Amino acid sequence: MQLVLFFVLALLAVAGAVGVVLSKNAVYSALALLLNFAVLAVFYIMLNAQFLGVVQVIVYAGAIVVLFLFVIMLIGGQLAPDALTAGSRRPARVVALIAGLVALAGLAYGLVSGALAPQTGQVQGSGSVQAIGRVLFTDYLLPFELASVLLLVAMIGAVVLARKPTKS
Amino acid sequence: MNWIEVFLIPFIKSLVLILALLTGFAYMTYYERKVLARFHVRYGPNRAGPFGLLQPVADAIKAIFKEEIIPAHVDKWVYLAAPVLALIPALIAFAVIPIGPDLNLFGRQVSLYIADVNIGFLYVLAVASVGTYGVILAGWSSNNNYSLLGALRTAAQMVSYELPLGIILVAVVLTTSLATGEGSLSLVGLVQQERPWWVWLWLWVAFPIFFICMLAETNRSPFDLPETENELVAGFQTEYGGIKFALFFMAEYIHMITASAIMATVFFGGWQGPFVDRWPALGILYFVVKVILVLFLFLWVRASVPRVRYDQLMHFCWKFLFPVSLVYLAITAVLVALL
Amino acid sequence: MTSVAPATVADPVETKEFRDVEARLRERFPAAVLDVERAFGEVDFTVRAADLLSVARFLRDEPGLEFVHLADLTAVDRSALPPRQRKPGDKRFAGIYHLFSFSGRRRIRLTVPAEGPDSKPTIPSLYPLWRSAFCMEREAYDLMGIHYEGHPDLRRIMMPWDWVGHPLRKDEPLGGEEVPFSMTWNDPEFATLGKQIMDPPPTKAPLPKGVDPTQHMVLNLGPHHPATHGVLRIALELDGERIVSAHPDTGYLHSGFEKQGEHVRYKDFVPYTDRMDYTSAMCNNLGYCLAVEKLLGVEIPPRAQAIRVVVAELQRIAAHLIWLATHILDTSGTGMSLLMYALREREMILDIFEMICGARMTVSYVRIGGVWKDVPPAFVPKVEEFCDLFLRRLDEYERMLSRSVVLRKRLEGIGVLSKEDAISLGVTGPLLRGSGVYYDLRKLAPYSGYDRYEFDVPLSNRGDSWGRYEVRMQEMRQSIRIIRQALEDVKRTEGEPCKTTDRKVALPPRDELDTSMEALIHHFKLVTEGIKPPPGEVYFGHENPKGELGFYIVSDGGPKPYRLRVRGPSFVNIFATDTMARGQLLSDLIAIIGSIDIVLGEVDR
Repeated sequence: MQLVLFFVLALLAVAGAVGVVLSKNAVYSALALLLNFAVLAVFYIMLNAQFLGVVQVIVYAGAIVVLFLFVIMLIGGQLAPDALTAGSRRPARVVALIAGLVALAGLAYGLVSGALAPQTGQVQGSGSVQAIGRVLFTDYLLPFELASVLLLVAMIGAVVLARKPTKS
Repeated sequence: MNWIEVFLIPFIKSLVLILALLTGFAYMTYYERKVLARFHVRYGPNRAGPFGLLQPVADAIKAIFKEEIIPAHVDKWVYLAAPVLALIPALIAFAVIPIGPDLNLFGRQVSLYIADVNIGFLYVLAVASVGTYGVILAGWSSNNNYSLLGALRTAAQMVSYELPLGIILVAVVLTTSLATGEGSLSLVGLVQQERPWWVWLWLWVAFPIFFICMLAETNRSPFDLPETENELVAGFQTEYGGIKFALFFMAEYIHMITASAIMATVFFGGWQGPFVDRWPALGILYFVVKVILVLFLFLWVRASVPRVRYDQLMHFCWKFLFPVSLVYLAITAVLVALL
Repeated sequence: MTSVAPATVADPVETKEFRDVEARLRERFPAAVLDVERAFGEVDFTVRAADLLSVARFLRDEPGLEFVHLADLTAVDRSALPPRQRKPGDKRFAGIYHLFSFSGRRRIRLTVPAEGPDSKPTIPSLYPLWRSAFCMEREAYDLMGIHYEGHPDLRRIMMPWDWVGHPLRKDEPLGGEEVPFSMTWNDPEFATLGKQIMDPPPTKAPLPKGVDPTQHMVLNLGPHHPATHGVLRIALELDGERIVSAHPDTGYLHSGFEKQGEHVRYKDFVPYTDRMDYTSAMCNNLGYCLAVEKLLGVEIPPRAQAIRVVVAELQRIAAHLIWLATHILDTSGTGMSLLMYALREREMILDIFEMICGARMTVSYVRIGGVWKDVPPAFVPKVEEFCDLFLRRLDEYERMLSRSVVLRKRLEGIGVLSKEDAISLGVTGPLLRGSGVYYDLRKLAPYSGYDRYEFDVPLSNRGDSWGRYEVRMQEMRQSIRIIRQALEDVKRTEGEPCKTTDRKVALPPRDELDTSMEALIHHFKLVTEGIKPPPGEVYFGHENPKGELGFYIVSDGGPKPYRLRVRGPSFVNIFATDTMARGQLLSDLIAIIGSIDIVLGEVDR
C-alpha cells in the first residue's frame, strides 16, 4: 500500500516540478512549486522523518513560496513570459539545459552505481525531533553555527542593499 | 491492527470534529454578534428563533442560495481554489488538540484527539503557515487593487508574526520540561503533565505575547489589516460573494476557535479540571468552557481596541514582540539550565 | 491644546466703513479700482481684471489690511439683471471674491468684471496667492464658464467631465435635459433596453494632472467606498502603500442647489439648506436665514435669537457626534462601540428636534424672521437634562479615547496642516482651529447674540488629526456652555414672540386673520408673492460645525434670489486632502478624511 501511495505522490511531485518550468504564468509556477514542496514533505513523513517534513512545510511552503508570491505580485506576474521569450535569454537557456542534463546524469549514475542506495538499519527514530536535535547540537555543532552565521551575513547584506541611499 | 482502529475510528472522529467545528463556527458568529451587541448597547440578532438562535442557520441558507458570481477579470481557477485553501488548514489544525481524556465508548477505549503526533507544536505552526495561501491567492486572483494590497499585507503580517509565535512555543516546551525533566512537542502529552504552580505562573507570563500573535495570525481586530473595510473595502475578499465569501468567513472563525483551543490547551490545561478523574466526560465540558472564555478575549479586544496601522503592526512585531519573546526564551533557557 | 477667549473688540466706525482700505487701494492702484459701493454694512470694490493679482496680493500682504483669508470665490452672470442694477459698460460676467482679515475682523468684497467674449470670459487666477482658489475657481469655471488664466488644472469639478455647457449661466434652462426614451418598438433605444446595463459604453474619465499610472499604482478610492462618507472619489497615486498624491474628485452628488435657488422664492430655499449638510440642518437654516435677514434688514426678537442659538449649538453637538462616531469607526475598524454610543446621544438631540418641529434631520425650523414656532414647555427641561447627561458621557468618551495608545498612534502626526498651509488652503472650522488659527465667526463676526454668551474657542497648535480631535471634543463642551446660557434667555423671555413683527417678512399670527383686514392682506401677499428684499448683494458667513458656511445672495428686488451662492466648508476643506496626505500611508488617508469631517451633500451641493 505504501508503494501505491508513493507512486501517486511521486507522480504529483514530478507534475509539480514540470509545472514550475512549463507554466507561462509566474504565479502558477509558484503554485506548482508549492505542490512539489508539499509532496516532498509527505515523503519525509513517510520516511519517518517527521521533523524534516514539518520543517519543509514551515520553511519552504510557509515562508519561501509566500515570499516568491509576494515578489511576483509586487513586480507583476504577467511580465515574466515576455522577458523569457526575448532572444537575449537564449544563451541562458542553453546553459540551464546543459546544467540540468549534467545533474540528471549524475543522479542516474548515483542510482545505477549504488552510491545513493538507501541505507538500511538504524533508521527508526532517527528522524524524530529529539534525534535530530541531539545530532545537531553535538556532532554537527560547528556546521550548524556556521550556517546560522552565513544566514546572518546574508540578512545583513539584504538590509544594506535594501536600505535607501542616504542623502549626503 | 484491525481496520476499525486504523480507518473507521479516525474517520468517525474526523467527521464528528468537522461537524462540531462547523457548528462551532456557526454559533461563534452568533456568540460574537451577541457579545459585540452588548458592548454596543444593542440587542444583536433576536428575530430568527428564540433569542435569535436560528440566525446562523438563516445566514447559512442565505449564503448558500446566493447567486454565484465570478467576476470577469479574475483568474478563475485560483479564484475558486483560494477559499478552499483558506478553509482546509483551519480545519486540519484541530487534529492534534486533545478535546478530553480517553473515554470508554461502546466498549472501546477512545481517545479524544485525532492524532497524537509527537511534533504537535510544529504541526500547528506548519498548518498556520500554510493558512496564508488562501488569503494571498484570493488577493492575487481577484485582479483588484484593493485585494492585492490586502494580500500583500497578509503575506507580510502572517510571516512576521509566526516568528514570535514559534519562539514562544519553543519557550513553552522548555518550560514544561521544567516539571518532568524532558519536554514534549505533543499537545496530548502536554495536557497530561503535572506541573508545580510556579511553572504555571511562568507559563502565563507568555500568554499575552502568544495571544497577540494569535490575533495577528487569525487576522482579527485590531490586526485585521488584510480586510480593513475602512481602507481596503474588504481587502482580499472584495471580489467574493455568496458561499465563497462564507468559506473565508468560516476559515477565519475556525482559525479563531483553533487558536483559542491551542491557547486553552497550552496555557490553561486543556480538559484538565476538578473531578475529571471520576467523570472523564467532564473534561470535554471544561475544554469547551475554556475555549469559549478565550474566545471572549478575542471579542473583547475587538470591541474595545482601535485598529493599528499596517506599518505600526510590523514595527510592533519586529521591534517589540520579537525581542520580548527572545528574552522570554532566553530566561526560560537559563531557568531550565539552572533547575 | 490652548483655549483663547479674547475680549470682544468693538470695531470703530471708520474701519467698518472701510475708508482706510479704500484710501490705500486708491493710492496704490489709482487705475485699478473702478468703483466702490457700500451697502448692507459691506463694501464692494470693483477691480479691473488685469490688476486683480496685484491688488489681491497687496490686500493680503500689506500690514494693516492683512486680508489673508480668501473666504469665498465665485462668479455672477449679470445678463438678466434689471436695467436699474446695471451700469453702462458692465461686462456680463464678474468674478466675486470675499476676503477676510483676521486681524481687522472684517470682510471685503472684490468684484472683477471678466474680460473677453461670452464664450470665454477670462479672469486671472488667484491660485498663486491662495491654494483654495484651486477648487473654487474650478467650480466657477465648471458652473459659470469663467476661464481663470494661470490655474494649474482647470477641469470640471461638479458636472460630469463630458457635460456640455455651464449650468449657472442665465441662458441655461433649469432642467431642460431631454429624456431620450420613448415607448415605440421601432425605437432603437428600446431595442437595446436592458442590454445597456450589461455593456455600458466605455467612458474613461481623464486622470488628474501629474498622475503617472506607469510609475505608481493608481487606486480609485470611491466613489463607493466605506470610508469616504458618501460618494467621494479620491484618485490616489500610490507607491506601495505610501501616498504620492491624492486628488479628490467631487460632484457625484451635485444637485444644483445654487441653480435651483434662483428658481424658488426666498422662504422656499430653507428646506434646501437642510439637505446640504444633512448632519447640521439647523445651522444651515440659521446661516441662510441670517443672510436673507441681512438683506431685508429685519430685527429678530430676543426669544427667537436665544432659541436659534440653543438649537444651533445642539445641532453642532449632533454633527460633532456623527464626526466622532465615524472618525473612530474609520480608524478603529470593526470596533463600532463608539459609533453606537455617540449615536445614542445624538438620538436625544434628534428627539428634542422632533419635539420642537416634528422633523429629526431635515428640520427647516429656523425660518426667515425667526423660528417656525415657539418651543413647547418640555423643551427647556429636556435640554437641561441632556446637558447634564452629555457632559458625563463626554468624560466617559475622553477616558476611553484620549488615553488610548493605539488611537493616539493612529492620529498623532497624521495629516499635518501648518498654519500657513491651512490659511492658504482656505480651510475653516475645526480644521483651521486645529492648526492654531483663531477663526471662529461666532467670535469674529458675532451673530444671533453670540457676543452675549461666554465661551472659549478651543485651539490646538498641533495641526494634526489629533489636534483636530481635541478641538472638536472641546467644542462640544463649549457648546454645552453656550446652550446653558442661551437656555436662561429662553426661560427669561417666556411668552415673548419668536418671530419678527415685520409683516412683510413673517406671517401674522392665525388669530389676527379673523379680526384684521390688514393682517389678511399681509398674509395673502406673503403667501402669493413671497418676501421681496431690496436689490443688492450680501454675503453672510456663519460658523457651521464643519467651518464657515457662507451665503452670497444677489437680489434683483424680486421674490426669488438672482444669484444664490453657497460657500460650503466641506467643499473647500476636502481639497486640503492632497496637502495633508502626501507621503503618508493609505490607512492615514482614512484618518485624514475622517478628521476633515465632510458631508458630501454639502461638498457637491
